[in-house]
Amino acid sequence: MVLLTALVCTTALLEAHEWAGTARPAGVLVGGVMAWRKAPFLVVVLGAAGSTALLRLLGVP
Amino acid sequence: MCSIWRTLQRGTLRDIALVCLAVGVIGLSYGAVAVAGGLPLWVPVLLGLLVAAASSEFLFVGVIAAGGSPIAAVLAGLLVNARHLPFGLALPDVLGHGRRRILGTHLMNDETVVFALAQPDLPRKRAAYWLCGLGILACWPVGALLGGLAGTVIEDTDALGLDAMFPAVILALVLPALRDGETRSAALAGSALALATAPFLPVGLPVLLGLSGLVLAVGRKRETEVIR
Repeated sequence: MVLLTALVCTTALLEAHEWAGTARPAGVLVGGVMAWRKAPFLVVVLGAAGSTALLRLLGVP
Repeated sequence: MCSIWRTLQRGTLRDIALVCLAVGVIGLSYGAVAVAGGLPLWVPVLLGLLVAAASSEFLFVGVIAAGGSPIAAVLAGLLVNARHLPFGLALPDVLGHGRRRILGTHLMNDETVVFALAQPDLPRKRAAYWLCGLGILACWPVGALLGGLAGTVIEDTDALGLDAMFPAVILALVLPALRDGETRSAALAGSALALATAPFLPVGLPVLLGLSGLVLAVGRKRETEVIR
């Protein structure tokens, strides 16, 4: 669990050695909030991808 | 095999199917990236089948495409997935015995481990692990093949937000365990350490270092016990 949580943080926030932009962490955060509120798994994952895509569409890196 | 279907709940089956599908889509981009990097089509497909570890393969293809030596590419690929060592120690019973164990170990990846850990008992852990593993083993190389054939049709999977999918999947699956205070503080300490060291260390090591969050938490627990 500890390893996997660390994995979530690094993959959500970083790309190689650099900051991965704002859109990805924001999307993962949306998914995290949904999951915390016990939304179905499908909704969580699509919500995360969807909000990241939406943010990128709006020009957020 | 039919016992797998009976053992798992429908919700879990749907979740596993979704993850396999997502892996297939990432496989598409992986195949496309590899072919665009100048590798022949059979390389990503064969790697997908034999290595079956997405991050290692992406890194391998990336290092080769950037002109690095194959040995450096293999070492980087091994390092990035060194976390599978403690994963294996956490799930010995799920993997099976004898020859089955070899295949079981091959199926190990972040998704299968997390699905197995999320199940309440051993038969269900085993069923989830094997179903998810076999599904991914099928979807990943097929995705890579289609992606390679399609070349650069999906030019930028980032535009679809697919890169946010992977952390979200793992997060959704570890969250129930994080409702427990002790686990949460260990996980947060480990994550903070991994993030702090990530800019300086080779990819893969920071996550492993995160394990020491566990040591911190256990140490603190002992202290409180002594005080009591």
